[in-house]
Amino acid sequence: MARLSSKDALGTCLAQLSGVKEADRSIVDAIRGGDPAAFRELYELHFRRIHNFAVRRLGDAAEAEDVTQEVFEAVYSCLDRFEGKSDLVVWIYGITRNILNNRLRRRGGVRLVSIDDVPPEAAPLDLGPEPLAQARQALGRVRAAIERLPGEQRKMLELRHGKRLNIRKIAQLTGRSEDAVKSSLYRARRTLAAQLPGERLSL
Amino acid sequence: MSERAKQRERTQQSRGGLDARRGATFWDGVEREIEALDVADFALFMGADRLPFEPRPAFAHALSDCLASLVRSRWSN
Repeated sequence: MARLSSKDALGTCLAQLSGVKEADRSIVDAIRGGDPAAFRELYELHFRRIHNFAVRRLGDAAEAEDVTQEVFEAVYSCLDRFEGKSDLVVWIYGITRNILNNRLRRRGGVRLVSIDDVPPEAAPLDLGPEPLAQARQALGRVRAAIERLPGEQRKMLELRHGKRLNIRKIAQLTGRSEDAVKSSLYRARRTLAAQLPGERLSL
Repeated sequence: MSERAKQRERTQQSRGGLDARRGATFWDGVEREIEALDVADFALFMGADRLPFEPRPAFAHALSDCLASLVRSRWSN
């Protein structure tokens, strides 16, 4: 079975989202051209997506409203920053993720969304089952490799990348020295990289 | 200073105020999220408008009005 790297899957995903991309491109052009109605169009195109994504990640409707407002304020006040290096929808996704992560960090930990938690109705209709299935398989392989790690390495990895704690905090929590934490993480990453040669790991 | 100039200044201050809350750290975080884009999570984001969560209409309207007001003041200068 051919493996799909994250980069390939993303390319497929984005290629199939051409409708959103085209709409975004014309909206940005219109906003920059001074059309005040264009921002409303952008709002209507992304409002439900941002709001519902925030509800899904936070599990709290009131907080999701705050996040939605923050995202649109950032998009509105900083659209001049948008350089077109990525698609607008990816830029908005980056802003949304960052605001959500900051909020979750203040709560005391980032909750990772498992691919198993993604309901079928959450898959874009035009994405097709194949990229999603391949993403599930890739995540399954990563999860299985993490399960096979020695206990301490797995724990360090979860604290560092699951809860996004810094090295000092992990050392305090586990009673290990910072060097010992770094060493465990290094060994865990090396083991994972050896077990998953075809995957692009962001660790 | 003319009323128009004062209004322009107020608008710029308002925009600056919104932007000032997001410093370099914020934008570094956005860059990181884009760089490390997770396919499954992005797929969830793209399909989130079909999730069975209904935004409160009052909130949707209030935010829309608020943004429209910001946009109007931006382009009235």
